[in-house]
Amino acid sequence: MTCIAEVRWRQRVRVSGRVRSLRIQPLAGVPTVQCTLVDVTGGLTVVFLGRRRIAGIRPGTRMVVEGIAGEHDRKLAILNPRYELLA
Amino acid sequence: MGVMQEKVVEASQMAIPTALPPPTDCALPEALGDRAKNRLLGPPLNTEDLAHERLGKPTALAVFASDNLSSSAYATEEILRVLVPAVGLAAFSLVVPITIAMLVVLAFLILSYRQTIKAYPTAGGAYVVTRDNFGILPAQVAGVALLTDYVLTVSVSVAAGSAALTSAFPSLERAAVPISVAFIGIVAYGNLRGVRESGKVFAVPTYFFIANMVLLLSVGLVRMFLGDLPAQTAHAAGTLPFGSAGDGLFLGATLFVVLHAFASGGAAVTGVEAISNGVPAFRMPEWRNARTTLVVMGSLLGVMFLGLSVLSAHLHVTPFEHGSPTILSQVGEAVFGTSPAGKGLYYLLQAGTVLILVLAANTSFADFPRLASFQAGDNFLPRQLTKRGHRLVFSNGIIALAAASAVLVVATGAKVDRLIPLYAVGVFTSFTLSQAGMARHHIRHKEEGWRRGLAINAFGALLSLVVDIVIAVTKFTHGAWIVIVLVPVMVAFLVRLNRQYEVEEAELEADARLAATAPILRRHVVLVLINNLDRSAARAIQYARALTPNELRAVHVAADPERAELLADEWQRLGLSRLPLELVDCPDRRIARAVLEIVTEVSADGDTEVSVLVPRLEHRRVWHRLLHDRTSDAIATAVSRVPHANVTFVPYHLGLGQPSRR
Repeated sequence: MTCIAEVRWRQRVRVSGRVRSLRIQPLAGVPTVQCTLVDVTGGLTVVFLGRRRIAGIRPGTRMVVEGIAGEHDRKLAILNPRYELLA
Repeated sequence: MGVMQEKVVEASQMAIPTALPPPTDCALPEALGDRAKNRLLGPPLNTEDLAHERLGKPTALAVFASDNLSSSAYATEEILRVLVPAVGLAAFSLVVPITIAMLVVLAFLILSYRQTIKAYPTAGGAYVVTRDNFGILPAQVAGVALLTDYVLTVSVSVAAGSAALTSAFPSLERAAVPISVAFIGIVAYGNLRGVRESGKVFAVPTYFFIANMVLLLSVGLVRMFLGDLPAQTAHAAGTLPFGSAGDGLFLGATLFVVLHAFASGGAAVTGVEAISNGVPAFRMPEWRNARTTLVVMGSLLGVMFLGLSVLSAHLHVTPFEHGSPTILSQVGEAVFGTSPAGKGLYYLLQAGTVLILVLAANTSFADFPRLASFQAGDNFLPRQLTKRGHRLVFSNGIIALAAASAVLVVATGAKVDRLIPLYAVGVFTSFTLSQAGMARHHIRHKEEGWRRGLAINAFGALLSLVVDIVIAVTKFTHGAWIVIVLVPVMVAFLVRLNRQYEVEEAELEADARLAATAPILRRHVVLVLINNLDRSAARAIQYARALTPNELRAVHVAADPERAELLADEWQRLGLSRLPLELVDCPDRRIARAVLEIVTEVSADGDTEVSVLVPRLEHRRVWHRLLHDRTSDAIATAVSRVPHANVTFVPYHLGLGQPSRR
């Protein structure tokens, strides 16, 4: 497990945090679920391409995601990570 | 043909220009505050109506002299109040000499003020004279001293007015405080409406009082010389106990008592400065008319004050512990007798006294706001005091004066004798400063006859200083210390305030032109706060698009997760302008705080201008507004604390049926 502040570009990471914000795409737009995951050290963007909603991911949800840190909208992001919701 | 058609099309598309609608044709209803003001105070006055009503000498006397002349209603009483418990019967032989001494001071003050009126015919007053001749700091001392005394003038006058009322109607005595506060309220209200210089309102009570006093004194003095006016020998319950005259051993103590009595009588000369403050209101030639009025005022005061003291001394009237019935009332009763006609005259006298005392309070209501606006204009008092209100008067100054004097009246239980010790210290301080300022003026400008003027003003300054010291020393323990402590504290406070204003001004003015040509920030992000998917949100998004920002984000703060869920579903189905909606977690429900966090993050790179658009409902009725909370205002306050974060309210007008373009 890495803390978010230490995530580096192109690294494979596994981070845990809280969904601080979640972007809702209207049906007319490109199907994407995009959220900002934060822990006490910082935040990064998590993007699920090709999906409209993911059950269980809401503002405030705690989860663990695992994937390769990349870039989305000029921000550090993990695209289509493996994720695990925490109780 | 083609070209012609194009031209026709162009012409039909171009609206034909018409004249602007008339300015009064404003369909929007007036704000609630304005409507209340219209109802209470009358329609707003235009700035150009400010031009002064010029006053002839008789009206000017009524307007400016009420404060000064009304002092004769209580000055004798205050002298006796000090003397009687200390020296007993000797009081009645001392009161007249003390009165004469006070009148000598008055005479010199009037001589001095004649100089001031000539030298400062535009805007006079101790503050301006001191500022011009000694600089801004001594002027604050004069200003604060005067402001304090204006507050006291109001308190003393209304307290004395209610005492005059309760003397005639003893059953009202327990209501003295509410009556006094009501007087303040009435005068303040009248001033907010702007009765400031409507001379005729003033002329009636002032001349009514003068006539009554003249009648009282002439009847009294005639009866006295005919030996028809016996001294009171029996003393009613509630009068002050008699002290015994000091023998040789106590000479020093007696001298102190005499000086104290003199200091109490000093209240009589307050208000002398009123005419010099109002010279521009006189008819041409202003300064000459003002001078004449000043002398007439002084003579009237002298006659009334001295006459009343002589009668009191002869009648051996003794002040009552509670201040009611007053000396003037007792003298009136004794002189006019108990016949029905006498009773009638007595009631007229009391009515005249009440009226002029209330009017005297009014003089302060004209002077205090004006002085306060001068000081505020020099950045030594809050700026709000320079603002003219609905009816062109300095409303904030009026309200401040009313509040301060009402507090004072309540705190002292509307007792004149408890207010008097605080009184006159400030006035004599400002006399001293302004006379000394005039002396300096003569030395610097050397106008015609300056040597004589210098002599008069220098002596006036010295005399005021001596009287001021006498007042401060003899009344120190009785309450004058409050003023003596308060004035420096206030001056220090004003200086601090001034520094704050100067710092602000310096920062705002530094390189203003350079700042306007500085490069603008690279990015513009617009956040539209969404509460519901509705027309108000749609309107805000349309407006946001008109701003053509680099980035447009719709944000919902999810203080209520269930509602957020519903909104998310709805947004996904309907959407607005295909804009994604950002749901922001807000576990502690502090919406403004959550918005602040987002804004801070967006503007963190230092190169982004953030606009936060807050849809806000505009209601057609006041009570409609009560149906909604004002979270939007809280958000605006919070976000405005971040540099480069700008809040815009996007109004949605309820009840107008927003027609959509497409």
